[in-house]
Amino acid sequence: MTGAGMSGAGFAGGEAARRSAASLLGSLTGDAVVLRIATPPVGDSDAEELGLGSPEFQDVALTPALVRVSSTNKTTVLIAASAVEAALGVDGAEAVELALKSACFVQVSDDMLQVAQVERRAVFGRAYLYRLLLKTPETR
Amino acid sequence: MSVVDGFQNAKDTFYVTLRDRLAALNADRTVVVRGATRPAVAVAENEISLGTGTDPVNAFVLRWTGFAVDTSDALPLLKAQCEISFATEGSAEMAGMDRGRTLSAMGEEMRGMLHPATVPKQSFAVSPAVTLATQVFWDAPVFGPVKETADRISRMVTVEVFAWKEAA
Repeated sequence: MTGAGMSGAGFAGGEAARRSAASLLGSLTGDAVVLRIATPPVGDSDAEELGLGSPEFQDVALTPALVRVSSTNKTTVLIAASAVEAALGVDGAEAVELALKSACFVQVSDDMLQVAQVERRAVFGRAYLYRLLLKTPETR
Repeated sequence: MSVVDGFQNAKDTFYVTLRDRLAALNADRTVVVRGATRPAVAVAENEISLGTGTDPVNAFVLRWTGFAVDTSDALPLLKAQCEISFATEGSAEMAGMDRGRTLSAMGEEMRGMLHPATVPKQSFAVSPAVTLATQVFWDAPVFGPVKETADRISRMVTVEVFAWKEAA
């Protein structure tokens, strides 16, 4: 399969990596994490900008997700790019990263964490894997 | 009514004024918040908190501190300090080498947003907003030093904002 601006070999290589990542994660885990995302502001109302209104939230499940907790209690989540794009309904690396970074919380089992960093793994310019580094919300 | 509650209209008016003035000064200075694009001015306490160090770049973020009230006149004079932070990493096309110029440009936009230093106070608790009897006014801004962290440079401007506390 080829497209404008893409060599056949490159595109095929990127697509192969995407499928491999999805298959590998699917075979390793059936876990899911849930992104809690605030909906966009409504119309031209100033209410939310002034703290007079609150957005609605929607939960988006990302699966399969490989969750790893390091010896220093840092949580990372690996998710296939194809799964992220399908769940969020967005395409393109920048849009996906923006959507992931805008998540208010990420629910991992019973823990509500926040996104500290989003890393994208790509081959021939096509994302095949996203790595989320999560953090515990700040408390007083 | 507490001092903080009495100053809310002034805070809202100040934010809306800066937002609308920035849109007129530089329509391209925008920020995406929850998928919606708007002029790049935001009040930290009105947004979903994602933790410290998560302010967007190329945007002006307002934080309110230091409230005080002067009751020596017939109408109490309320005062608050507004800290306006802005930061940039430059542009990807320039590999961030234009971050100094971008920060300077944002500083000039800051000065433009704050002039003139007075605006009629409005109440946004109702829709449409109603104009009240007095003005919101502020001192000349004080620009803090430029700070550099990795590939990001930032600056903070402090402004003393005043408003008369009107009777309910």
